[in-house]
Amino acid sequence: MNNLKYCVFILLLISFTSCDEDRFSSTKVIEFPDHISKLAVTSHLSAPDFDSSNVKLPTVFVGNSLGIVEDKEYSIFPDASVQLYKDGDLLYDFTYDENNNIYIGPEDPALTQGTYRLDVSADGFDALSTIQVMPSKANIIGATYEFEKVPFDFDDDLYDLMKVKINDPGDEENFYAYDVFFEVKSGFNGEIYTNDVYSMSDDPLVEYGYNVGEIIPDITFNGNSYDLRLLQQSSWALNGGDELVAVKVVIYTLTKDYYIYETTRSLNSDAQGNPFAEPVLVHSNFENGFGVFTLNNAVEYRYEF
Amino acid sequence: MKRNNILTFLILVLFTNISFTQIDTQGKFTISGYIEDEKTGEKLIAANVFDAKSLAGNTTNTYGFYSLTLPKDSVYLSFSYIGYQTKVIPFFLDKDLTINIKLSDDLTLEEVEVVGERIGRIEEETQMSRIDVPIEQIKRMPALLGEVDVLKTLQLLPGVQSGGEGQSGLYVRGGSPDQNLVLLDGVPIYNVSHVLGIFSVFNADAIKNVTLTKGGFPARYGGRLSSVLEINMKEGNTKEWHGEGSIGLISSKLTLEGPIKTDKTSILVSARRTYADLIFRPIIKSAASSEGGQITPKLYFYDLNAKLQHKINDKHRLFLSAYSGADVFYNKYEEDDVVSEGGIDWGNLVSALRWNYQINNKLFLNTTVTYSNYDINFLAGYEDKDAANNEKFSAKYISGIEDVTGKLDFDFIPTPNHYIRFGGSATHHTYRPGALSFKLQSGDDQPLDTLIGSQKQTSMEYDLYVEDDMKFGNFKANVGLHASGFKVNETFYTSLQPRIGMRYLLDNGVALKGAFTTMTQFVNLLTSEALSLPSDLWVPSTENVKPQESWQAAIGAAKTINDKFEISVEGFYKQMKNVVSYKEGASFFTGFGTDWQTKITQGDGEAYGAEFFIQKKKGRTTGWIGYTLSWNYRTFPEINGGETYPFRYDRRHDLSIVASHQLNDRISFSGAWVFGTGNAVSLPTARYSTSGNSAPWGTWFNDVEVLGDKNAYRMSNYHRLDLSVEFIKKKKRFERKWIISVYNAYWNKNPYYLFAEENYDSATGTSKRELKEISILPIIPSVAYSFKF
Repeated sequence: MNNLKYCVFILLLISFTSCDEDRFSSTKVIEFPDHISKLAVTSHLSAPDFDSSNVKLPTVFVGNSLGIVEDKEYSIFPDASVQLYKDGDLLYDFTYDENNNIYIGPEDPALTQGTYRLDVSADGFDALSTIQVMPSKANIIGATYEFEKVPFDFDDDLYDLMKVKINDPGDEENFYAYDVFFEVKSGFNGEIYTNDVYSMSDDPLVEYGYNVGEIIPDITFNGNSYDLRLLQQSSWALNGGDELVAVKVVIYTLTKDYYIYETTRSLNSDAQGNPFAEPVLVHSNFENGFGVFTLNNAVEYRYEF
Repeated sequence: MKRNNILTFLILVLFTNISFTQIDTQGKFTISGYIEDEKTGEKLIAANVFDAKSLAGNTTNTYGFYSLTLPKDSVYLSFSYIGYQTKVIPFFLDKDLTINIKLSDDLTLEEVEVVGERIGRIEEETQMSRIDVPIEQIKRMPALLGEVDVLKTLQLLPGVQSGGEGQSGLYVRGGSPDQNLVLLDGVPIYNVSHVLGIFSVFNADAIKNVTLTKGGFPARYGGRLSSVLEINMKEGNTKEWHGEGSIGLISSKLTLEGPIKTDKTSILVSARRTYADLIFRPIIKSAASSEGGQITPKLYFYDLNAKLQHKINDKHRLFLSAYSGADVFYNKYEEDDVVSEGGIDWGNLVSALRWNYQINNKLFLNTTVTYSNYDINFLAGYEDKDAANNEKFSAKYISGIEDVTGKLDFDFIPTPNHYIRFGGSATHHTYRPGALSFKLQSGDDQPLDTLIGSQKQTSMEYDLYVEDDMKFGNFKANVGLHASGFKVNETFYTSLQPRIGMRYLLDNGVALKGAFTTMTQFVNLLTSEALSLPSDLWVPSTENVKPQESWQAAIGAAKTINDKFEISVEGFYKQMKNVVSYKEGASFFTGFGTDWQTKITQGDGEAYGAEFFIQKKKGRTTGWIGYTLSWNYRTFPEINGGETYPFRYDRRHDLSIVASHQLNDRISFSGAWVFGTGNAVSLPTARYSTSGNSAPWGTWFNDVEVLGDKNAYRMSNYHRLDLSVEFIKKKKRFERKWIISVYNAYWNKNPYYLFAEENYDSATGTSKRELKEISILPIIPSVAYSFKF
């Protein structure tokens, strides 16, 4: 019995001597590892073949990285050197637009097939450089359109089905994205206007980009023709008296870096706040910095009703 | 080509040995029988039988059976087992004999020295990387909340790690928990954790022995890459009724065993349950009712073990064993007409029917039929009973795996120099890899009742093996071949796995050991690296998911010093192929309509290191020091940009110091101190803004968090001291103990989880991001009362 008393006393002694001011807290603050700031560059350049009113200026955003706990604003780089090379030759310098804190290129960027290199440098930082090869335009052979054809998800409504036939080249990896527009003749004044349409694909291969929407890699149809299935509801785009004149599909071919960046960015965004999700590394193709330089090519196909 | 050469060599060796054994047994006689505990009738596993004249010997198998073939001559036969009085029988051998031995654990009797007996010592064992942990040693370990734990004790051994604070899963030589074959009486158990890993499912009072094999796997084992943990239940006292139990702070247990018919039929039943919910339920209910509601919480786990054995005659025995266990975390809240509920429960149900048949004095057959089921359910529900609203909603996530197996295992002992095992099994697996059942009734709307997610899948797994444990003077070898087949849908995988282990005893008593083994695993566990949860999914290899494969090479040396200390040093190298992992961004909790195969990816693993182990097994003070230095990497094409990264449980240093001291008949102390390098985790290290105006998709402005290299950051090192003291009082037919223990005696805040949090400082009006470690187990003193009668 005496032994028991001594043991209880020792136990209590250990317990109390283990106590300190912070002892009852189950959390401990840890030092974040130090971070050395690097340049962070974002640029997605496009080579469309359709009306340039739909095309924005080529831009390059130049920023910097900060440590995850740093309580600072990002730096501005008005004096950075931002140059685009094509096949080894300087194509043009980007100029700084102070209103938007971005570097812009010429109105007609004249991006065609070739190998492009983006060089960015700024005082106090390692220079960044990376190369992209402009992908080929999608080879669209034809299309069909059927109204109110396919049920989708839990809706009772039927979606229109547009099938766009693409011939995929066999000697390269291709990644396709798309946009769909309706040309509508107004029932009010007879003018024709273009609507951006929400469209989706029921293809099980579809992956989701952060900003480009759905992406279809050519894994299962490489070198063959492929029917891209697009579902949309034309009835939503039409007001009373409106007439659907045509549907325009823009098919984009993305570089692999663009595809990986978009999908990892999308996964990273979805994983935020989800403790069960595996961590996601957002893709970067700059070796000594962050961000991404990508290219995409585009071709428009117009289907008239 | 190289693997084919190894296979050809092994087949030739096995065939040649089996042929020669026929010639070798002429003019010899066989002594066979069973060795059991005198008081309880429990068969003793790996008890030694040794003839001091011919220096030949053997050990009993899992059912206490031995066979020793010796030349016609006088023999000086000793039967021994650690912790028991050795029995010696000298006689003249001129015919086949059956000698059944009962050994006494009364060590006050005069100790008998047997010259030349070395069997059972670490340097005598052919197999390396194998540890037998006596259950009595486990019971003396310091206990968390009064519960001694089998897996926690195994985590103190070199080469074996825990996943971290409170986790009872095993990470053996770079492997993950699904790569451990955990067998309870020969039946695989798929989830070995209670209370999110703080306790294991094994009730130490129902267990007879524990054996962990980390490498050098004999051919009779298959289906997992990294380890085999065999836990055998007691069979039940065939002489008289006994019981033991304990009452602790959060749980109690009781074990009863005894004969239904003396020396013929016995039964053992053991049960354990926590009762935190019973204690706190009145308090919680009272608090809830003061708010106008009614709460019904359920928070408990239980284990129930049962075993029945029946001796038909000297040659036939039957065993029926079963285990059922579950964890339940559930809460129901009712207020007015509204009822909401939520919870999670998971559990195992396993059963084995076994028939031992001693075919003759050299051939023993064990036939087993087993059943194992594991499932987990998440539940959330809501009901508004008001007739005007009539709303009811429930969502249930269901996942699990079920096995039915039939197997035959033969032990053939033609001579003391050969112990041949062969057999086969067939297993039917049924997988339920995560489905969500969703029901909704709202007003007069059409009710919704749907099931989303992966449907059931089945597969068949077949195994055949043959191995020979052979001795040639100072050289011993275990050579074997394990063949597997796995059929799932239209895909059929096959695998031939050569196994070889060797030992050479030098004149100075040092044993040099080496082993090379290949393993294949067809059943995979999808587990989150972020959190270890019982929601981990068991899935089969399929046409798209290749079986996991590994090969492991190990070399080492071992020696017993002064008959007290066993020292071993081992180095190992392991390569794994087709290990599975969730892809970046994936989790079991999202994308229920998505096939699980699209959420995972496969890659390679590599682990290597060295283990040092010194153990004292005898005397008043026993214990061990174990140290492991190891490296552990993974490479997945779709993770971390295809770059190799440290596995989460890459623990560079792992040290355990364990000691127990019997002060006298009434007091004993024990303690354990562990140290391990912190787990490797991925952290966001930086952020940058993507901001651009780019064709054709418009402009976006937001921050991207940059994840550093995968698992490049280390959590704080883990270290902990556990202490325990027992006060024992023995009477003629009753023994009681007061067990006082303290877990984490100096209250180190061992990390469980790491996260980044934004904290607002009202004084400065700014937010600051902080990185925090959460620990879950503080210093935990406990008192338990245990009894035996």
